[in-house]
Amino acid sequence: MLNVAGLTKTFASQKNRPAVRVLDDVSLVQRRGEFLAVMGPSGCGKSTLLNIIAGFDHADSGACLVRGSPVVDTGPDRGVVFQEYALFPWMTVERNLQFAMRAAGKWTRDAPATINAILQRIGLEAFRNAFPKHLSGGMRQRLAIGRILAIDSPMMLMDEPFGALDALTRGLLQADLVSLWQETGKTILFITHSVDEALFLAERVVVMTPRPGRIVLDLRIDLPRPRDITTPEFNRYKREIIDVINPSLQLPGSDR
Amino acid sequence: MVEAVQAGERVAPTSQPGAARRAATLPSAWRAAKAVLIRAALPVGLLVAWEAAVRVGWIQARFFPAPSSLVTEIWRDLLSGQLAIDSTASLARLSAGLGIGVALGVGLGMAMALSRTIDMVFSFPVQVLRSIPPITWIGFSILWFGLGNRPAIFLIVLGVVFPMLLNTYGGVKQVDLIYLRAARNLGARRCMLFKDVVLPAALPSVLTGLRVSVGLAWILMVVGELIAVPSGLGDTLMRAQDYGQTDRLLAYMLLIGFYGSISDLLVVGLSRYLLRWQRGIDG
Repeated sequence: MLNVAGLTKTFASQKNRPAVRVLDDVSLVQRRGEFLAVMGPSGCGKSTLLNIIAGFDHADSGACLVRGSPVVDTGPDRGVVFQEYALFPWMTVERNLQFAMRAAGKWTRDAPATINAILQRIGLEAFRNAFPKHLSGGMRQRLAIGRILAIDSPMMLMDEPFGALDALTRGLLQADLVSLWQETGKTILFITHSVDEALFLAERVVVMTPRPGRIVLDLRIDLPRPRDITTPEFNRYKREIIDVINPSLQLPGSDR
Repeated sequence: MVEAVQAGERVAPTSQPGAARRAATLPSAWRAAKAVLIRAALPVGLLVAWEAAVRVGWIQARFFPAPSSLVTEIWRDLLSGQLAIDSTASLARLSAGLGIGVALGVGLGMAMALSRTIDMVFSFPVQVLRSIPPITWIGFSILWFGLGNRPAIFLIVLGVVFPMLLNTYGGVKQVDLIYLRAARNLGARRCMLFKDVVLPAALPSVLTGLRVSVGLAWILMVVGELIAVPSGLGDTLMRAQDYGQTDRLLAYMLLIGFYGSISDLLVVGLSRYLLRWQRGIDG
């Protein structure tokens, strides 16, 4: 599905800041239907990686192929869910979905039925005529996800989508995202800085470190679902990731 | 109002329901009445004091006519139909000038914001032209268009076009990148991107420009009529001045102010409706 090879990106120096190499020879293969989390501390280039895959930004060198063809522009085959929601505030909930389907060329005779089904799926039927300003953060992000469902992107790019939500809402949306993935089989690339979030959600976690942005760990998560974030197995994975991100946090006596 | 009633209902089980509700709704009705009183206090008080001062003789009616004589003047013109004729003539001019000016300003502002070349071509000339007070064009407007509607409309267009242009330009330039990214990601291109994203995102700024423009349009309409147009509110006002009819003069001055404030209220109402999706605007 996704094939990234030798991706390199440097942000040119500016007045008060030297040039920063945000991506350094990043290579990554994601198979169809895989739920992949890219995690790392801020500044590690994970969002830049997503922006290049989404077609918002270009790499200096290297290749980025989606379903075999190089990414040249952004498009509805890679639906993006932004941390800031990026809903259109001048459109009602329903209009946001309609706009998405029209923009993606998915507006057919049964589009209204699709919209109804999606509104039900994301629990916003009662809010179909509300403007985004009337929605809570969790509802907004559900609508943003609904928008990607409406255009039926085979691949979903999620850029720290739950980062601005409170812990409780975040947990609900995480569980909901897992069942959505299980129902639809979408390929999901999920960017996060939370180890717990990555481990709760993904089949595979790729860990990046900053300056220069590099992949330092590629971990398959073999935990049964629904996942329990308090089990020793879960914490073993967590320890493994933390050790890589921040070796100074290594416990005395830990030999890993 | 609604909140107050709900608060009352929550209190209801512990106290007498009726009393609780009355206690909850009365203050809000009282608050509304109080707001009206506060708003009306200054105008009404001034009118009464002014009328009294003229009647008692503290102020000479010739220099500052009493409100009652202004009302008489307006009432007479209302009955004779003169007021309606003047008002519609002025309003037609205002609408024409405003329409042309808004269309030109929004059109050119959009074009400049969307195309770097157009921006570079027009930017400097626009900056120079907009710094010329529109009123100074009056000589040329009569020279070019003669007397009548057209010089007045020309003045209004000149006054309206630049605030509309600058506000449209600023509004389009400031559209948040994330909306453009999201829309393009969903597949929106040129026409859709413009109509459904750029335009509504720029609308708050455009409407701010419209509010400024309507105020300017009223001023320039009257200026145009004072000098170049043989009809309308400005013309009647000018003739009253020529004949020394101070009551008529003042009556029409206040009438223009009244019309101007009504048109501003209309623009504000329109903005609130069109921007009901914005934070801080309820609806």
